[in-house]
Amino acid sequence: MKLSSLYINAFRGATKPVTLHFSQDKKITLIYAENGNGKSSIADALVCLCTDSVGSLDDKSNIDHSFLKSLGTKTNELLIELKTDSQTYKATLSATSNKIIKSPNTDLPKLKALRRAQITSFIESTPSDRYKVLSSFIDVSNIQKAESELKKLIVSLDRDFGQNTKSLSDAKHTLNDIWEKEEKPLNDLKVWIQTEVQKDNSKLNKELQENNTVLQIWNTLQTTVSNIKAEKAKYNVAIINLNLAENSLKEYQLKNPNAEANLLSLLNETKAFLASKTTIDKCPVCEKVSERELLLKSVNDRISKMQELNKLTQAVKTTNELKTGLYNRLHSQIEPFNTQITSFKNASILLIAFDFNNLFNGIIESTDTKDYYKEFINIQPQLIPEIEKLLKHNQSINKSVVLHNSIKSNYDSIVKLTRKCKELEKLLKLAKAALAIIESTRKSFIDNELNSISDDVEVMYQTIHPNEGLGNVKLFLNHNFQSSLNLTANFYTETNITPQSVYSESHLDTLGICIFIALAKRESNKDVILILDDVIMSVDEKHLDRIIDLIHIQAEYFVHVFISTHYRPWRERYRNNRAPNSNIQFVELRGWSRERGITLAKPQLILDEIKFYLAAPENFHRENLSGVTGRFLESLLDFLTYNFQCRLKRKAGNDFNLSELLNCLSKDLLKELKVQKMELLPTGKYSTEKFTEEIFLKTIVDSIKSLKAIRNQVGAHFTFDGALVGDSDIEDFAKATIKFAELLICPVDGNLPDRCKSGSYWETKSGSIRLYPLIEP
Amino acid sequence: MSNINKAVAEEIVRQLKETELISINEKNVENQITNGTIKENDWKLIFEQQMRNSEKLSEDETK
Repeated sequence: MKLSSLYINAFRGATKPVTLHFSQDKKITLIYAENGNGKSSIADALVCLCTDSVGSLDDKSNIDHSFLKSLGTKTNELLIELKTDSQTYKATLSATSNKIIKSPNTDLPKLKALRRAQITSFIESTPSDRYKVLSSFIDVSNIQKAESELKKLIVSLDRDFGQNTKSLSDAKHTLNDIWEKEEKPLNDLKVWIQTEVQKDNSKLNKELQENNTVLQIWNTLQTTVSNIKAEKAKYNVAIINLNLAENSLKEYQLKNPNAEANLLSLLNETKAFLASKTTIDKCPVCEKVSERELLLKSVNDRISKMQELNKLTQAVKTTNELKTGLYNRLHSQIEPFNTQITSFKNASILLIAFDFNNLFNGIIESTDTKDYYKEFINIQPQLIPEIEKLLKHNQSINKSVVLHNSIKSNYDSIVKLTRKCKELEKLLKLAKAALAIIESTRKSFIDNELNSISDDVEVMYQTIHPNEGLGNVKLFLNHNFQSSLNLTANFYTETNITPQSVYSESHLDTLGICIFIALAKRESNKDVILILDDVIMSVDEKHLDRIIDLIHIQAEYFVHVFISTHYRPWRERYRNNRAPNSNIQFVELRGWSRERGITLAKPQLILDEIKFYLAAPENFHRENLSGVTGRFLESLLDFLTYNFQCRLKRKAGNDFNLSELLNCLSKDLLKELKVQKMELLPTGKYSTEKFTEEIFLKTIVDSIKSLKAIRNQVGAHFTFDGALVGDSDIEDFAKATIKFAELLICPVDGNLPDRCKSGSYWETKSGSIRLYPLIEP
Repeated sequence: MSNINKAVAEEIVRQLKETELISINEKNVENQITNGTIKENDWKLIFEQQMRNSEKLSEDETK
């Protein structure tokens, strides 16, 4: 992706439409402007379009998003439009919510913006906030989830292993206790256990089962017999009561011969009959005409007169019914009894060690079961001692069986638990080893990532601050705390200190920039737009050159680098070819007003300005040409004399004039002062051995020296002598300067030969030009 | 983020297989770790399978 143009209207400072066209062959755009001319509006427009942020407004508290729109414009006028070689992206403002609406709203260009206000926030953040910034680079949360599940398994296996080990120990103790209780048979626990376990207990179990069956039936039988006895007792009482009632009735009838029981019975039945009818008009017996009520009254009167007889008759009837009921209940017990006694006999006579066979000899045999009860009652006294004998014997068998079963069961448990414990131990070993691998791999990955970021930051920081006793920047996780990212650096003799404690503000600024660029690089697959919005406040000449150099080196990792600055020396480094101006698009913003909005101006390189004055007679301007040529020469000579370490009289401000700078180029230096133009190879690189041209500079320097007075006479001051200088001399002065500059300036990058890696000459970064000597001889 | 988890999961599984803590034939474990979907019981089954494999191998060697 390449950026083509950015159109902004009604957005913040862009009160009028403004379009910034990007040079397709330049990766860096530098916008220079004094404060208040719209630099941040342009940067914010890109941020608003490509991210969820609103740019520099985010750095301020209590922001009013309604001011995203320019003053005096309508909401529907706001438009940010970024055209690339493949797509157009637009942002507008919602009519109702002051929110930016994007089209398309997905797959927007990736953008990372650093503003002055954020520059040291990462450094000064708490370790946990710092972690959040880096979390997307080192977030292995899914690995941590897998790790956490594995830890759960280890806890669970550990618990199971503990429980099984305890159960195993308990089973062993139980067996030992049994052995000791049995007085240590065979004098060896293991031998005894093996012997016991191998014993065949099936006969004993069978006998126990048979005995238990007999005892069970016996118990049931006892309950049934007990019930029969109770019922029989009740039945006997009922017979006595019936006899008493019948005797009482007989005595009454003897004393009252007229009291006919049959008549009373007839009357009672008549009463019942009449009560069941609603209407009746004659006596049901004699058919004499009468009303129902009169008939009922007559019957009741007669029954009342026979009250005593009635009571006695009812008593006989009730006791008789009770007796019959009890008789039936008694007989209902006999049937189960017969079944049970037969079962008991059949089961007990099989127990040959007991006397049941003899006791039942000849009884409980016939098909007529009516005498079974009597037969049983007869032999019950003999059966009871036999049952007691059986019970006692059975307890003894039971004890043996229980003991054997307990030994067997504990032994089986020991075998099973031993196997289980071994299995759990193996599983635990595997799980713990796996956890160790996962933990170490995860930590190692994070440490490597952070080391890689730290190393990148360190390389960049050393580019800006070489040999200054600073750096060794380290980002690392504190594994004792969750999500805690620490930052340390060196400070001269002190190592691993927190840089914010001792570094100067400008050193922290450059550290913040390096960290930001390093992180942005991690996210960029040469597809991130990098914005550095006014991040440099004030740095000295050398540090500025190194920062510029760093940005040019790092630009290759991004799709585009967008720099805004109000720092004029930065602008001047490019204008005077002191920085590689061929690779940047240079834009200047001037004179913002509400009426004009953001105004783009194309700043001229000094060399181009000189050429402009020479290009056509109507462009010629003596004073301007002399002045600009003189200043440009001073800049070139400042560069050369500094690098050659020429001898100059010390001044407080190092504000040397052209004459002083030219005069300090010694004879010895001028003898050796030469430029080699290296051969351009088909690969596009310059040869490191062959040069196409070698030019000694003494002639041209002498030529400039002969005309140096023009700089002041015409270009700086009003003097009479200045007016005597001919236009052709001024043109010669400018042309000689152009020739001198073009011999030194790299045709690729547009900067001067400022590198001395060889140790014997200066060369441009591209290797196009070599300048001799290294220092003044 | 998924790329980071995938890269780390790949390395973890490579080491687990190399150290024979899990079976070389385990196919899903890498995806499960990458996606954070592996559960306690999945780990258990994986190790149990590896134990069975080891036991079978030593039985075969004995024969």
